[in-house]
Order: sequence, then C-alpha cells, then structure tokens
Amino acid sequence: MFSALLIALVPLVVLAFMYDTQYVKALEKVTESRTNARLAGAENLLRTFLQERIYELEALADIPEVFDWLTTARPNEEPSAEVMAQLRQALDSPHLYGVVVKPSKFEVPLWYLTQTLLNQVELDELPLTPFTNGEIIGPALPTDSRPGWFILRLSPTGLNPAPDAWVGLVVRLASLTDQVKDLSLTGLQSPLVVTPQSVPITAVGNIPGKTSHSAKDINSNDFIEGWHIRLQWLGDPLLGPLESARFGLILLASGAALAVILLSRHLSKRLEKQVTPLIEGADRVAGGDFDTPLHTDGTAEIGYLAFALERMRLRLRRLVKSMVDVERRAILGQFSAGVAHEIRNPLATIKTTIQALSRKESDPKRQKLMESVDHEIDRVNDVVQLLLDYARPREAKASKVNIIDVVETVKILADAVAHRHGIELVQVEHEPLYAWADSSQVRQIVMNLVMNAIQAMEGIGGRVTIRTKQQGLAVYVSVTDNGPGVSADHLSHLTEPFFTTKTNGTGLGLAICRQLAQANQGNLRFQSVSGEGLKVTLKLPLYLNNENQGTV
Amino acid sequence: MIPISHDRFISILVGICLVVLVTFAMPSKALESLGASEDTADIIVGCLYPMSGRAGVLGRDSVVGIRLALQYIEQQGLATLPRLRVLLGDTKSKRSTAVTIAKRFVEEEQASFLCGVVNSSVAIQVTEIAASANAFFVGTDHASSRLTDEFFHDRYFRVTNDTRQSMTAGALFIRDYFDDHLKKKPLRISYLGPDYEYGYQVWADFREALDRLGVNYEIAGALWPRLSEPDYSHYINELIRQEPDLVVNSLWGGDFVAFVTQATDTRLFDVSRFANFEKGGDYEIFAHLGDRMPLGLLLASRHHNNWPETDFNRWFVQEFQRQTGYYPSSGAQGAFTGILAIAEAARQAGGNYKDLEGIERAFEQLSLTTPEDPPGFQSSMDPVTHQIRQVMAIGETVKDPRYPPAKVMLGNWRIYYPTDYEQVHSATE
Repeated sequence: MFSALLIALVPLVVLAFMYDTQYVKALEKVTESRTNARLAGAENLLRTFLQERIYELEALADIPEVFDWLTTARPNEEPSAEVMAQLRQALDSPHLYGVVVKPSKFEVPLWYLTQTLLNQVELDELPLTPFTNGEIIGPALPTDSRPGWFILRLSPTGLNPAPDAWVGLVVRLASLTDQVKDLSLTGLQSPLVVTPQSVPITAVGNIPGKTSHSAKDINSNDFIEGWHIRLQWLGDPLLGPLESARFGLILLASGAALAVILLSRHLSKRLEKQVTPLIEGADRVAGGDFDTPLHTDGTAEIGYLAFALERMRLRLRRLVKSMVDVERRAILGQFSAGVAHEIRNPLATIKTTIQALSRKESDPKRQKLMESVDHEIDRVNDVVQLLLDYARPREAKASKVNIIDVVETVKILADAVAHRHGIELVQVEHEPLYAWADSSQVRQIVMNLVMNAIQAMEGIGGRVTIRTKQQGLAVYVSVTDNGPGVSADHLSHLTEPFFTTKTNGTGLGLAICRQLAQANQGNLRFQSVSGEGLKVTLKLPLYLNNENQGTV
Repeated sequence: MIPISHDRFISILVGICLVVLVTFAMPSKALESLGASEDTADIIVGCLYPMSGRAGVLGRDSVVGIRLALQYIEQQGLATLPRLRVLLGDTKSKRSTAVTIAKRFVEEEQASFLCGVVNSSVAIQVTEIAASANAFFVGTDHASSRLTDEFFHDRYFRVTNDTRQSMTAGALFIRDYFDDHLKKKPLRISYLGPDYEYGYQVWADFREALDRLGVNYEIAGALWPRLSEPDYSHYINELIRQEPDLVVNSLWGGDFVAFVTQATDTRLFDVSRFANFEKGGDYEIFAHLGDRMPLGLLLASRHHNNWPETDFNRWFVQEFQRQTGYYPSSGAQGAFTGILAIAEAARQAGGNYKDLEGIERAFEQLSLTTPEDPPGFQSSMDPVTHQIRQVMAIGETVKDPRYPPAKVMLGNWRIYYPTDYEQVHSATE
C-alpha cells in the first residue's frame, strides 16, 4: 500500500512543480507585457499633453500683436491692452498658472503669475530640456507652501542660440503628472514622474514622503530628455498575499503528502500487526489446532474478519468434535454389538451353569465362590448393556416430568448406599417443578450423577446436595459433592466415553448421561475446583403447560 | 402663402428662440439688472458672480441676496438711502471673462461700484481694473488676504471675513480642540486646497496663525487639486496614505460637495479629523449630502442658517427660503451685506452720491448690523485694511433636521470675535 502511494504521489508532485513553474512564468510574462503597454500609453499621454501646450503657445506667439510686441517692444514698454487680453485669455486654461514673456529688447522677462508660486525658486538653477520646437524650464519642485510648475517656452525667432524674444506658459506640474494616474494600482503600484533633478513626483503633483527603492520598481524610457516614469512597487500588499498563498498552498500540499505517507505507513503497520496474528491463527486452525483462540482485537473490518475467523474456528472445532464423536460411536456400536453377541451368549451359558452347579454344591466355601462368579457375570453383563446403550441410545419420549418426584425417588434409592459410605445425601426443598423430557432417562441421569458423587467420596465421607431450580425456560438439577473435585485438565474429558478417574469405572456413565441429556434437548455442565468438590448441572427444557409442545 | 407643416413650424420656432437666446447671452449685449431703472438710479453697481459650473450656486444665491438687500433697503423707507441699480454679470469663473465684464461695467455702464466675485484670482484682476478706473470694488465672497494686502487700493472694501481671519480663528480652534493631543505630540496636518491664489493664501495664513500661537504641529503634506477637479480619488488616497491627524481643506462650492461626496465612500473621515474653516460649513453641502453627511467634521462658513439665532438672521434665512423654496448658501448673505454696505456708506456720506471720496471715508468708518452678527455685536470696517471685522463661528457637524433637505447642520459652536484673532497677529507684529 505504501509503495503504491509513493508511486502515485511522485508523478503528482512532479506535475504540480512543473505547473507552478509554468504558471509563474506565464504570469510574469503577462504582467510585464501589460505593464510595458500601459507605460507606453502613459508616455504618449505625457508627450501629447506637452504637445498640446506647445500648440497653445504657438497660437499665442503667432498672434500679430503679441509677435510684434515680442520683437519690437522698447525696454520696459508696457504691453498693449490687446496683448494683455491675449495673455489673460491664455490664463483661463486649468493647466496654466501664468504666462511669462521676454521681448527681445528686455533685460529680464515679465511674469504674469501669482507671486506665491515664485517662492523658493531659483530660476537660474532650473534644468533646461528641449521639447520639439520649444524648451522646458524646470520644473520648480513643489514645496509645503505651493505646488510645482514648469515653463514651456517658445521663441518666434528660434531658440538656438539663446533666444532674444520668447513667450512661455507656466504649466501646472500636477496637470502633467495627472496623465500617469491611470497607472496607479491602489496599494500595489504608484506611478511617479521623475524629473531631470531625479526627484519623483506623484500623480497628484507632490513629492512622496517615503520613496524607498525596490528592485521591483519599473522605470520607463525617457518620454522627453531627462524625464521618465517610475512605477513604484508598494511592497506587495496585493501580490504579496497571493505569493504567500501560493507558497502556503505548496507547503500545505507538501505537508499533506508527507502526512499521507506517514499515515499510510502507520496504517500499514497497524494492519500488519492485526493481520499477522490472524494469518498465524488461520495456519494453526489449518494445522488442526482448534483450541487456541484467535486474536480478535482488530479494528473495523479487520475486527469483523477476526471475529468471523474466530467463529469459524469454534464451529470447526464443534464440527470436528461432533464428527469424531459420531465416528467413535459408530465404531463403538459395531464393537458393542459384536461384543454383546460374542460375550452375552457365553455369559448366559456360564451363568446358568454356575447357578446349576451352585445349587448342587454343598461346600459353602465353593458356593460362595460360585456366587461371586455369578455376580461378576452380572457385572460384565451390565458393562455390555452400557456399551449397547451408548452405541444405540434409546429414543427419548418426552412428557411432563415432575422433577421433584424424580429427585426424591433417586434420593430414596441412593440413600442406603450413601449411608453405607458415611455420606449425607441432601435434597434442597423446592416447589413442584416440571420438565418436558423422558422421565426414565431423566431418572437415569440424576441417579448416575448422584452415584458418581457418592463414589467420588467413598472412604472419605461428605455430603452430596441435590438442588432443583427454574430459570427462564429451563429446569436445572444440580448435584454437588464436597469431595476432591476434578482437575481442570480432566474436566473437559469427563463426558468422553471410557474416560474415568475411578479404578473400577467403565468411563461410560457420564458419556451416556450427556448423550441422554442431549437427547432431551438439554445438556450437562461440570464445574469444579480441584480439592473443593464437583458440581454437575443438568439442564432440561421447562414444561410450558402447552399441549402443542413438540416431542423431543 | 407657402404651406408649412406643424413639425417644421415648431423646428423653425425653436431655431429662432435659440438664436435669440444665444444673441442675448452674449456679454456684449444687454445685461440683467436689479433695482432702480437706469434713469432713476443714484448709484450703479456692477456685480460679478459665476452663474454656471460648480461655483454657480454661489452666484445664483448671491443674486437672490442682492434682491433681498434691495427689498430690505426699500422697506427701510429712508429717503436718505440711495436708489441702487445693480447690474449682474456671469464671470464663468474665468479671469478674462470677468475682466471684460468689469471693464464694461465701469467704462460703458458708468458703474461707480463693482461688487461680488467669488474666485480670488478673478478678484485680483477685477480689483486692478477698479483701481485703474477709480471705482469702488466691494468684495462679497472672495477671501484671499492679498486683496487687502499687496493688492490693496483705497476703493477696495471687503464685507466678509478673509482667509487671514478665518484661518486665525481656525488655528485658535485647533489649539483649543486638540489641546490634549498637542500636549502629548505634534499634530500632523495635511492640507488640501484649490490650486490657485486663494488655496495658497488659506494655507499660508493658517500656518502663520499656528506659528504665532505656538501650536505644536508638523506638515504631513500639501495637495493642490485644480478648480472643478473631476475626480478626487487620487487625492483622497494620498491623504489617507499621509496618515495625518487632521486634514485641513479649503475647497468650496461644488468642489467641496464633490470632494466630501467621494470621501464619504472611503475611510478618510475615519482615520483623520477633517476641517474646513473657510466655506466648508456652507448649507449647500448639507443639502446635497442629506443623511450621508458625515458627523464630527469641523467646519465654518461666512454665514450660517442656524446661527446666530437673531431676528435679523431668521428673517434673512426665512425670506430667502420663501422666495426660492430652498435655504441659502453663504454667498447670499455676503452679497446682501455688500449691497447694504454700499447703500449705508452712501447714506452716511451725506447724500451726494457723486462724492466718491466722501463715500470712501464713510466706508472706512462703516458699522452695520448684518445677519451673521450675534446679539450685541455689529460688523465694522477696518479703516486701514478695508477689511470688515466679523465674528467667526466654527462648529461640528451634528444631526439637525430643521433645514431640509439637510439632515446635518453645524452645532457645538465655538465663537471667535475679531478681538480674539486680531490679538494673535498684534501680539507679535
């Protein structure tokens, strides 16, 4: 399982790695091409803005009154009302702060501009940048007290060399930088216009407070000499989380794969730990060991399997035992029939002969011997009868049996024997109790159990107690002695034929009892602790006062 | 007779109407006038206001204010009060247009008074024309202190508070309002003002007042959106990025409405306090935003509909509302006061309305009660600067449904008298 998992995971990891690499490359390519396209568009907007101002300037300089005044005005001559009107008209543009003019014979230019805008400005220090057929002076950078601006100037007579006469528009710097505002990606990228003084200006025309450089800043080409756009990277507030999420996902996936590997390894080991005892158990069962229980601690399906195997072991054990028993009984039946035939007839002859001889015998000593032989012949005959009974049991004929009567009858019969051996036979009183069984067979079983108990205490004395009770749909008759008891090893063999702990026992009594109990839908149960006596309990079906109760 | 279909007739009629309208809309043609007729007028006043665009509401309200002033003068029934003829001109907030109209008023219409002008840059152009024509220029709504400073001339008088007064009151307010903060650390201030003379002057006057008061502050940044800026989002983002404790703003009219409308959808008002001590408290902003108007903004204006609670102010506000169906913005009261001041100065000059020097002297000594004067106070002209001295009321936006459609008005007032803010400057000058 673990190997299969690894085989499945490795190509998946390779595929994920390749996909991620290609995805990042594609994303970077798309972003870069998109950014370049947007930057190129913004550069065009900036140039177009300046070009439009140049057109306005050309229109102003081409007005005959303005042109004449620029080229012919005497030093310090005031401009005419027409010229002033034209200049004032230019000031209505929202992009312009003012107009500055320098007639050819003037020493210094004339400014039509609010004086606040000239605060902290050193005109001589402003950079000069050519633009088409004009020039840009500045910018005068924004300060805390006023905005920034620059002059776009044009000479009607040409700018090169230094012009004698020129007219200039004082252009609002924020109107120029406003052209790049669409490059702004809130929280991600901030567009800046970098002036020839290498000072960045924001889209709204101020100098940004913090201008930390980043390797991810993107600089455009100069849209005019010395001026360019910078896309300031604002520290990944948007892409940062995306990147983090990507690495997080990769980490999560790796962690998950590792966890799956460890988990599968753990499961594999646990499975092995649960399955191995089952395999060993199954091997034991296959080898004929039906007695060693299987390990049934497995979880879920393994647990069910173990439980099923254990049930199978128990049923197999019962089946095999039953088959052995049947086989043994069949053999015993054939054997018993043979023995009965071969032994009983000669025994009958011997018995008759002995009895005849006995009657003619006067010697009491010999007569005693002949009686003894006669008894032994009876005993052999009894053994043969037992063998026949075991091999060919009589069919039980069930009827209502008064158990108390049966027990009392047995007690009366056994009392004399018990008394002879110094054993007290006690019957615990009980109200009438009825079983559904063959009454003679029940009597035979109880008698056998009582006699067994008495024989177990021959020579040592003791007490045999007979109890009766009803529990559920069963009637119980238990015979308890306080003799030496039976060891645990012997206990399970007590009902096997020919198994006996007695020196002169046949080993058939309890075997027949069990057989009779089973024939009456009952069973025998043996409980003993070695040295503390034996308790044998006969269980029989309760008489239910129902005429339709089936026959056994 | 050639038969004409009904549709064609309508088309021709509409065409003719358009031609007539365009023809009459041309500045060179007849101007709209109020008050006395050309023949009966004692004094001709040419008033210049923007009647269109974002500032148009101020101009339109100012015209109603002028009408109310003429009505008020007439109700006085004093024979010594002059009969005024008021000519109206739409500057369109453009310097060239304003100059053209102003010249026409003084040169062709023989106006001895110019009045109005909302935009300070336009006012500078107009005051130069008034100076060169020896005409009076009564400022009613522009506020740059440079008009009474470097562009001062004898015939210039301003009847509403200027940027120096309002921003000095603002600085006093800041010192008091942020007292706890200022004891711990400097107040970070960002400024956003319109990109022209007025915006620069508001900022300069405010910083000068803060410096004079010794307020512990630092500048987080200064931004200058142009007039009628269509989109303030980048400016608002930049203000949020600057992380100031206080944003001082001096936008006005429709620009201020547009700015606040956009800013209410951002977290600007959550992360910084916001103040506009110039025209931010104008009723039009409250009317426009209704219940979307944020609470806790620190605003002032040159006139308030709910302060002072005097009979005169109540009459002014209710009469305006009765005539127009809506409540006035601050420009109306400025124009009202301007016309009232001209009439009162002419009356105090002795009835000779051609004696411009006499009127000038009377103007310099002028004291008059205006709707924005609280009980026990009378507006008075500073004879040196020709700047009227009035009370400044600064408030905080609070819920107040009394002036619908506005749901929010100013409350929690702090009042600053001329002596308060004059002390700031006189102490060190």
